[in-house]
This record gives sequence, structure tokens and C-alpha cells, in this order.
Amino acid sequence: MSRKQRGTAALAQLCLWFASRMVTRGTRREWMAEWNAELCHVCSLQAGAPLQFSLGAFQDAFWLRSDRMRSLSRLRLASGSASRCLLTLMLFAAGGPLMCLWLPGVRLALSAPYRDPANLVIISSDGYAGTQSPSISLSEYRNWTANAHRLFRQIAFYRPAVEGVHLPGGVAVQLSMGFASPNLLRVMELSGWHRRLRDARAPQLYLSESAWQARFHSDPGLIGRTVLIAGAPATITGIVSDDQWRLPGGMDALLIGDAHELSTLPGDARGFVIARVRPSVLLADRSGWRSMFEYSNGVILTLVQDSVLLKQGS
Amino acid sequence: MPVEAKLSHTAAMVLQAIHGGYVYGFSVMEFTGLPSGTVYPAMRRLERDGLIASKWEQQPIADAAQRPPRKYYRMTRTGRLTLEAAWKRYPLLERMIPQPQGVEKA
Repeated sequence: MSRKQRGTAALAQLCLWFASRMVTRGTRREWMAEWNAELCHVCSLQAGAPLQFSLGAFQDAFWLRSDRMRSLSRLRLASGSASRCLLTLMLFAAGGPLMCLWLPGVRLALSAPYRDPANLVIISSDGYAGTQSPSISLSEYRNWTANAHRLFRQIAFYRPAVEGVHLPGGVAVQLSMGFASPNLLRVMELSGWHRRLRDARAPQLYLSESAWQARFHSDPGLIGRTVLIAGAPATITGIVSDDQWRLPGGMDALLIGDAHELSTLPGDARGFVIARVRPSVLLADRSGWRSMFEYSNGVILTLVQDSVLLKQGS
Repeated sequence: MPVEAKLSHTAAMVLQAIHGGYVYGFSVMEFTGLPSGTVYPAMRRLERDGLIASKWEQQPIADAAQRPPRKYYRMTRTGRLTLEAAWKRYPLLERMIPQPQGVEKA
């Protein structure tokens, strides 16, 4: 190879090197190897034109670069569209339920926190359904307890009243509480507790979570303490989460007493009655409810699960 | 096939050359008369579209010839089908670059 040919080959090699700068790093080595091998072949030919040949490498490198850019932009467009779609769906999925929570009465649509809510009913007199006013007298409750076994598996009573809770150390807190029959918690079958003391003796005081936070500053040592309510001792046994606390009466606490305490109350004391209806009864014709309760002067049964499922007066 | 419709005359010539047994970039240049700046991008496009496939020459063969290994190209099945379609579109293509011996027109 003459000096001129060597110079031309070196110049052609330099052209290749410059052109290779346009090629992406990942493919540059292979690209350079191919062009070098071809250039070597061209240089070995007598009639070869290495410089002219290597100038074509710029076009090749430019094509590779622009083709890659086209592929990337296509990919970006495709992935951008999918990302936007996914983002919109995620926003709807997250925002939809949040927006629904602002709608009035949405808690009614939420599933009831009690077990088997389809058979759980609140009984109230005609005109009192869905209100916070007690309407069933204790004598009516006693009557149903004795005579309505065919209808109810269990039936419980509670009477709302405002009483002072006297803590050790002379601290007294006024609470709106429900004085309940011993079986109330069994009837409700609460599935979740914020805190609970097991194997406590009656009478037991259960606080709502919001009352515990607002009136007792979320004192964790409150559980198990003995307090005085209307001069009688009671043990703070549990804190019920607000989600579970849906009974009418606007109560801060429930005092679960024994059967004897309930029997000392007068028959005309009014309260709420909550009952577990036998499943076989619910399967029957619901118009039968009216005749079954005619003797109690127009009683309305309200399913806890729904707002008012059955609303029949006399 | 969309690729068939997009095959330009230059690309068809390159494909025909590879089909004719000219498997290196420079040999394709020689037989088509096209410059390197046209042939190599055309081969890249054909390879990207799956009409041809490339393979590096084995090192012992290159060593024996005392040169770096070269990259050679072969036609794929898709390329063959595309070329057959191109023959209908460019009837003179077959005359420009003869087919290798032993290969029959489909």
C-alpha cells in the first residue's frame, strides 16, 4: 500500500470515527466493527475508494440515530397515552369513594358493623322510627320478652339518661348514657372493639371512642377502673369504636347492668328496644308484622341494616 | 402485508442483491451500483423490518483471510415473500440482478 493510499485509509478511518459519534453508545461498537471490516475490504481493492466509501457512514449513522428517535417518540406517545389513562382511572378510583363520603346520609349505605344485620331490628312506636327519642315502655319490653319468642331470638332494652360518672380522685364527668339490659351486647353482636376488658363483672360501662377521646383525653389506663354512677359502682370495661356506635339516643356510654337493676325501674320508663328476629320469621310475609304487633298499639320495626325497611302503624 | 407496500425500489434492489448471494454491504454496493450512504441505511431498515437477518463471520475464517470479521446478511422468509411481491411491482428487478443458481422463482 502506497503512502497516499495509507493516508486516504487513515482519513477514511477518521471519518468513520466522527460518524460513529452520531451512533448511540449501545450499538456503536458493533456499527464501527462492521464499517471497519468493510473499509478494510475496500482498502484491499485496487479500485477501491475508501474515503468516498466512509463518507456514506455519516448517512448510515444519521439514519440509525433518527430511527431510534422515531422509535422512542412512538414509545413515548404510546406509554404516555397508557399512563394518562391509568392515572385517570386511579384518580376516579381514589376520588370516587372519597367524594361519596361527603354525600349526606352515606353512612346508611355503608355496611352495618354488626353480625347478621338482616335480622337485627330496632323497635319503636309509630311516629318515632328513625328518631333519637325513646318510644317503647319498659312494660312493653317485658311483655315481648315473655310472649314474643316466636318472633325474636333475643330482645334487649336500653334507656338513655344523663348521669355523672365519678372517677377516683373526685373527678366527675357528665355523660349521656344508656342503661341497658344485660343482653344488649349479645343482641348487637359487635364485631370490633377499640379496647375491651374481658371477664368483667356487671355493671359494666362501655364508652364510645369519641367520648373516650373528648371527655377522658384518650386515657389508656381508664379500662378496668371502677367508677361511681348514680352512687353505684361500675367497671369501665370497653371502648367501642365509633363505627360500631350507631344506636339511637345520642349516647356517650352504655351501662350494662344486671336483670335486677332493670326490674327496679317503673313500667312506664321509655327506652329503645333492639332485637334479633328469627330468620324464619323474616322469610314469612312481612305484612304479618302488623297483626303480630297490633296488641302493642302500633309498633314499627326498623331494620338496622336499612334505614326503614318496614314502617307500619296501626 | 404493510412492509410489502412500503418497499421502495432501492430497498427492493438491495433485497434482490442479498437474494442473489451478495451478502456483504460492499458487495451489495458493487452489484447495485448504489453508494454506501444508501445501501447501509437500506439494509438497516430491511433488518429492522425483519426482511433480512445479519450474522457475524466466524473469527477463524476472518483470521485465515487476514482481515477483520465481516457482517453478512441473509434473507428471511418474510423477506422472500416481500421480494416476490416486489417482483410484481418492479418487473425489471429480476433482470438487473440475477438469481443465484438453484433458486427457483415461486
